[in-house]
Amino acid sequence: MTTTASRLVRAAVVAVLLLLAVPAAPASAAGTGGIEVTPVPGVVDGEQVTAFHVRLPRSGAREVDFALRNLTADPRSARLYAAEAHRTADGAFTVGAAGSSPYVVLPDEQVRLPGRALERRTFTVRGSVTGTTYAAVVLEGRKGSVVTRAATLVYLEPAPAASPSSSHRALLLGVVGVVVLGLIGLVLVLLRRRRRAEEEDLTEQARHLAGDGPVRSERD
Amino acid sequence: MTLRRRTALVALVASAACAATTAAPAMADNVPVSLTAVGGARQFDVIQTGSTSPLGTLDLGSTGSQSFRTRVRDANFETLSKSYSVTATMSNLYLRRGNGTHDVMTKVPASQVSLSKGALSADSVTADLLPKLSLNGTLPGCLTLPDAVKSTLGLSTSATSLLGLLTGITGPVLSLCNALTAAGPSGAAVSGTVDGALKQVTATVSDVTKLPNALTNGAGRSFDNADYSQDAVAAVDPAAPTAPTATGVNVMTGAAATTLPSELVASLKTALAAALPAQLVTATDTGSTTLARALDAITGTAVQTAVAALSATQQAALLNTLTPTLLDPTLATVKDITSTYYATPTLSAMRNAPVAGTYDGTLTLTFVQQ
Repeated sequence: MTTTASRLVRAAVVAVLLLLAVPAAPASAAGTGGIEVTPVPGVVDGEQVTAFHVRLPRSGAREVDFALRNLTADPRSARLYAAEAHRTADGAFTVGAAGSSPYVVLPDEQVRLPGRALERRTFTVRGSVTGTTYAAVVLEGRKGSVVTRAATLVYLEPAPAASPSSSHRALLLGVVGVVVLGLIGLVLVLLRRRRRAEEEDLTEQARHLAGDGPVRSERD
Repeated sequence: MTLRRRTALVALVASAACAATTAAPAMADNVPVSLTAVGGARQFDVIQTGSTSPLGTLDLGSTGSQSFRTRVRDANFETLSKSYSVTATMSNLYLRRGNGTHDVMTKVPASQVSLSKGALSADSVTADLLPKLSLNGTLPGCLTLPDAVKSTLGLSTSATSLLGLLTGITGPVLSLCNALTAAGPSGAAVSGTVDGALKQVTATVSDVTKLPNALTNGAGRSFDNADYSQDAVAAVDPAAPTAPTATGVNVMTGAAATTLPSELVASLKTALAAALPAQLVTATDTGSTTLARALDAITGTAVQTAVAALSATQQAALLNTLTPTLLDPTLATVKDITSTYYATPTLSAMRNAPVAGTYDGTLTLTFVQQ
């Protein structure tokens, strides 16, 4: 592919991605006080996403996108933080206090959104888990002595199993290549030997016809 | 030599395939795609009983109990396959001093505060539905078509033979008659399911377990372990650092939907039948389905092509001889839901406090979307 063609392809792909990206507004989400948290992207495999499903990195940290949206025409405020979550025996979830999750890092802050505003945010995941572990991104409102919280669950999955490194992969490919070449060489040698044997037989037969001696069968 | 030829051929095919894959997108035009997203939402709040005002205080007064309402509002909410729950936790109640501060050592433990199993209720359910219609019937030979259809097609209603009928007929109508004749003596059988136009309908449910996300709640119980995380006084309680996990009392749960309850199906279907236009198709696509979708139900390619070549009015006349049957709505045909769900529990505290006076605490209600 030429450089020009390559550029055209890239431009076309980027253009299509941009055109598709524009309408990707948040869809189904949950919240309280007129503000909601939506995982980004909001649709995965054709299904609306209502919770975060995150695979922890093998090392270091990973950023996870989400959107904050004010559903109302007026400015709205809420406290935003991450917390640990636990599944109870009846399948429901309990959500801990602000900053209680060791895996999800999101500054505990008061957010204020203008009417109909949409803000992109991220939280960080890190650490290692052995099975599915839960956390939550929480929006909290307080009125007097009543606290209202809306928690969007974060399903944390263990890091993917180790795969061969690129140098290991190259070595493996090299070994496979050598074996294949060796096999091809062996087949060629065998073919050449067989052809030589056939030629010798023909020479023998020609000599016999010329009266040089008896023809030896292959069985002999 | 043969080996060399094969290698060369493989290389040629591979490079050609590579060139085709890489070259094709470069030649493609950009197609602008736009979509107006509905932006469904599910909002949770806590309101006073008998009003829609937000709940700020719960004065248990001298009776020692007070009810309130939790409310989950769905607006064009799409994901019905995931459950949600609302859980309550409670701090200890601490004695209020005269100067407005609290005595952290004098308290009514959360274990003496309980939440009852509250009544559950819901508003009517408004659904955006994609109707499914079963389309059945036969497109008979042109000679046996109803007179009204014959007239629309420009065919004689008095002809007694196919030859007589088709004399002087040309173009798409002639192609149609030939295709129907070729389909067999009984004509072209049609049997298929087609999408109707998206409709918004409202259904009522007699029971909260018949909602798309069936509503249930726990039996009610006491807050055995206090929540020290949401109350400023509780946070400095000496018991806080070693406190076990706060007891969560289930207030309401909306179960993940796997199917639509039969009562809701019946109610939605009745509403849908009333909302859909009586006519299957119209020339202006304002029927219960469109001409294009109805055409999809005709599987014989020749007949389908022939019908498609007719004018919109002729297509509508022909397709309206088929029998549409509205199918039961399913979870897959429900595009989104708008409704509101409530629980009305009562918070109660035992009144045998260690010291007479007013005690304050914090009630936390947490909504969790799975």
